[in-house]
Amino acid sequence: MTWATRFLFFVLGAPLLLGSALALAPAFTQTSLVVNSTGQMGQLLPPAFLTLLSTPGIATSAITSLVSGLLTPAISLAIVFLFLAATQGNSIGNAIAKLSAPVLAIPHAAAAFALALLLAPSGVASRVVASLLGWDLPPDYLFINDPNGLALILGLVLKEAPFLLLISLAALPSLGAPRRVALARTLGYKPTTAWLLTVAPVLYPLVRLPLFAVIVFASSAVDVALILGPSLPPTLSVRLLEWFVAPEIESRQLASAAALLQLVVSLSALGIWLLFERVVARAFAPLAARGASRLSARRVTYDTALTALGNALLPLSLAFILIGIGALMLTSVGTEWRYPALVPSVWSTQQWTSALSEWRAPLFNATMIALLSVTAALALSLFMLEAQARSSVSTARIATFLYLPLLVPQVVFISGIAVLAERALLPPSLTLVAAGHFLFVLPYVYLTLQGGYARFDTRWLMLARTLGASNTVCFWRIRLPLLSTQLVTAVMLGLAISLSLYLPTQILGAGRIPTLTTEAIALVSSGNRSTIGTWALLQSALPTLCFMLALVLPRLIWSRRKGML
Amino acid sequence: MGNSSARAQSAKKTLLVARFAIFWFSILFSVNASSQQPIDVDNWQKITDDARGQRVYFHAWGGDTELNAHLTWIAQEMLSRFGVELIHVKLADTSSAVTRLIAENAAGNVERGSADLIWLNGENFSTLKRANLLFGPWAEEQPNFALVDADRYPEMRQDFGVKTEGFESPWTRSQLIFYYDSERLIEPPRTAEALKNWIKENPGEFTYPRPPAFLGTTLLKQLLVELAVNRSQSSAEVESTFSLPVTAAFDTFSAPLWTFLDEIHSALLREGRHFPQSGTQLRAALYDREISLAFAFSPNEVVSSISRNELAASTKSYVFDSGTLSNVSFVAIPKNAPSKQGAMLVSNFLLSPEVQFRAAINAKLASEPVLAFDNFTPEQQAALRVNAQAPGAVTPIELARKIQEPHPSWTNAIEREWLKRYGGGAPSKGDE
Repeated sequence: MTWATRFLFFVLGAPLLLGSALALAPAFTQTSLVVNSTGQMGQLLPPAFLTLLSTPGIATSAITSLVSGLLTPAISLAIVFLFLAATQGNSIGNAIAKLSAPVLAIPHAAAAFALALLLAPSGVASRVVASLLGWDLPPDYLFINDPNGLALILGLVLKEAPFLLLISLAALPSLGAPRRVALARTLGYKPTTAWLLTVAPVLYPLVRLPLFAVIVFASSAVDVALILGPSLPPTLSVRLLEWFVAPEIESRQLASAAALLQLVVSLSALGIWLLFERVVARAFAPLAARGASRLSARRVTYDTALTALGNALLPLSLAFILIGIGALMLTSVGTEWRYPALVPSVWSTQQWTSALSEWRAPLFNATMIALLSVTAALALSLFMLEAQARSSVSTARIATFLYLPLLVPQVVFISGIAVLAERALLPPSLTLVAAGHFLFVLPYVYLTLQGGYARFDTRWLMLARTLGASNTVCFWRIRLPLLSTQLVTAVMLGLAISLSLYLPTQILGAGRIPTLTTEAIALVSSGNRSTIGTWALLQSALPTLCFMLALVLPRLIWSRRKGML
Repeated sequence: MGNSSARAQSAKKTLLVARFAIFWFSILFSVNASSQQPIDVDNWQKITDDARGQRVYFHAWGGDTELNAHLTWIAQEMLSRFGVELIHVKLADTSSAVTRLIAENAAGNVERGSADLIWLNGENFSTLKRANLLFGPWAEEQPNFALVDADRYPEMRQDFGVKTEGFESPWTRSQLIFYYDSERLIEPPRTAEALKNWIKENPGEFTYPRPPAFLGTTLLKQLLVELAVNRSQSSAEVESTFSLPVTAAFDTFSAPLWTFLDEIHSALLREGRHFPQSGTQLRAALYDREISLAFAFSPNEVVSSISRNELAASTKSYVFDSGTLSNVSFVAIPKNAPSKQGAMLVSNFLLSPEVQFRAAINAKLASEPVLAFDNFTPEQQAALRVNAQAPGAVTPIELARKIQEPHPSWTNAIEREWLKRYGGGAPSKGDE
């Protein structure tokens, strides 16, 4: 471990460990108010765990979380790899990939609203069918909030697939995919199969860590589960939060025990995934080694089917979200839109005027928090990368630590940090929230800049030094300007992430620091469709703007230079 | 950086960084040094003077846009009239404020609490009062408290059977009402028994918010009381049982409720496999014709929803024949609130005829005023009478049929039992 690694481990690890410890501690206190029927377990387990284990449906909750934690990454990865295999960098594929950036920018909660608006029994899809079949009343089916969590998984996949796609696209150029495919083609494989057999195995290790983050997120997400997840019983994460905010003191202990269970569930999901990896690797190897000597018709149809799936699934999932956003826009201006009407019958901008009159403070807070956390993350990342570049130490191993905040469920350690801040008599403040956001922003900022540093042509620096420039001059005049694309991307990515964070803002700010995201989710309980639509759109607007800037700004900066993008 | 001037420069830079850090830390750790002095609640003039310049964090449920707008207006008035800065902290659930308060006190934060004023009643109040976390008594010293006429309306001093003893001040009044789409439903059920039969004859047309969602629990309590009265010979015995903390008699008294719920479960919307999260989702389901009968805990819910196009004009509301649950909700000041004087001033302003009237007429709040009717001006009284005639309104005669809330401990007991019976998913699975 270099000093930089240790430092980073401390910055990210300490709040994580302390937070988790404090969140889990109440579960082990013996001063429980809960009267339990002491069985033989009584001596082994603290009372809070007995209460937790005897809670009706707790196993169902845990299993729902586990299944969502496994199916979400599996389906998302399948969609992305099939898409990449089927398009292989052709122009249509590139165009579609560009569309995924704005979808990535849309906060999870807004995407979940959009999906619910499309697929609920009185939703847009049902209205389309109603207008064709002449229904007057909405059908009584249960898909959104279904007990198996299918809607929850679908909602998560729609958001995680674009994320994995962008990660994959960033990693692909270094792999020489066309060469590999060409080689496999000479052995008689069809293009899509060739990509899956030769590129996927080398691409997978590069997306593995982000994928682990997806596993943890999907098994512990709160906002999406609140909107799309089952309610009888809800997912473990939602129950945990319910217990955490319940007024009774014994609920706090129950919440702590549930936090431990959440940790176990998320880690189990990771463990099962690791097993799954081995099984797939075993199955894959002979498949690739066997070759495609016998060009049977079945093999060709197999490849055609895979290509079709790859071409269809990702665009379809993007289209889902974009149509959903369209529906959100309709609700935000439609005041009278009763089932089975296809479009609102009375239009008004009243929701917008009232939302806009209330959005100043939330917007100001959200922007300040985002700027503070991103500035801090940027400064720290540059400082460490520069220090490592000068001492020419490899930076690769640090990446693992950076994923730490993404590998521990947010609900678990953020609530502990709130207790820590409370003990330290730190009042809930904008700075405190920004410090919490910093933990989630840093990984993305650092990784983006690290890519830039890794690809940097150090001969420019040598050249500058021969002309007498100091290290400082080299950094400011050579390094930073040449890295402006990565700088812009890192800043915009960081801003977008900070702007859509819900749990850290809500818990660390004690609800006192309203942001666009907390306001939007507070209105979920109001259930008024047009209000929710308006705030979901407001909440999406800023992150989307950031992503757009990340795409456009480098082009403007380098508009008079060649080959810099 | 070999030469001395560069070193001096870097030292200067370090100094600058240190100063900057100290500046930020001082902001981070800045503590409002004002030590807590006992407040003389009798001296209203001094309270008004001391309140000037204070910042009051009002923790109140933020799920109602009309109420939020009303509070925005109140905040503007508080600033211009009294120099008090009122900040509405929009809660998704009042219990989170209670949790926070408990956590703060557990951590030894006894004078810099995050909330100055909390909107609450029932179990949240009884929890805080029992834990001795509330400031008071102060409520009855407010100049405007006399206007609620608490001697004539004892519910202004009784919160779910728990005596308020000046630790909270009334703000709004609510009552359970039922409403339906008169285009789909001609003769709605007016008793618990009729409701059961109607649900079974019309499967998929009724549901209730999932307890512990406040409105869902309220319906359960309504049914609990009404069914127990039906069953028992002596209504006095029932009344006294519910006004006291829950006892072993819970099983006997709640048995008819669980039989009722078991019977209707599979005839509910989505066959009882999913419940709405809140009253507003229930309302949206009625609006979109998913269900044809719903209920709310605010007498003017239907009137104000129709005016916002959130319910069809054909929606009508009513109260059960034997009456419905009714309660008052209050505002309380935590013991560790930094701006108690400002909070008291806000509470007193909330009780003024001007604000109570505005809430009912201009802001179109769904709840009722707590002021005694004759304490409004004659013009205000006339306007309130006209309001009671609006389409979808419940008549004052119907609203007079009130049932008192059971003791808060019943709420907990019912919620727990409901979650045990239905909260774990498919009933066939049982406990795990």
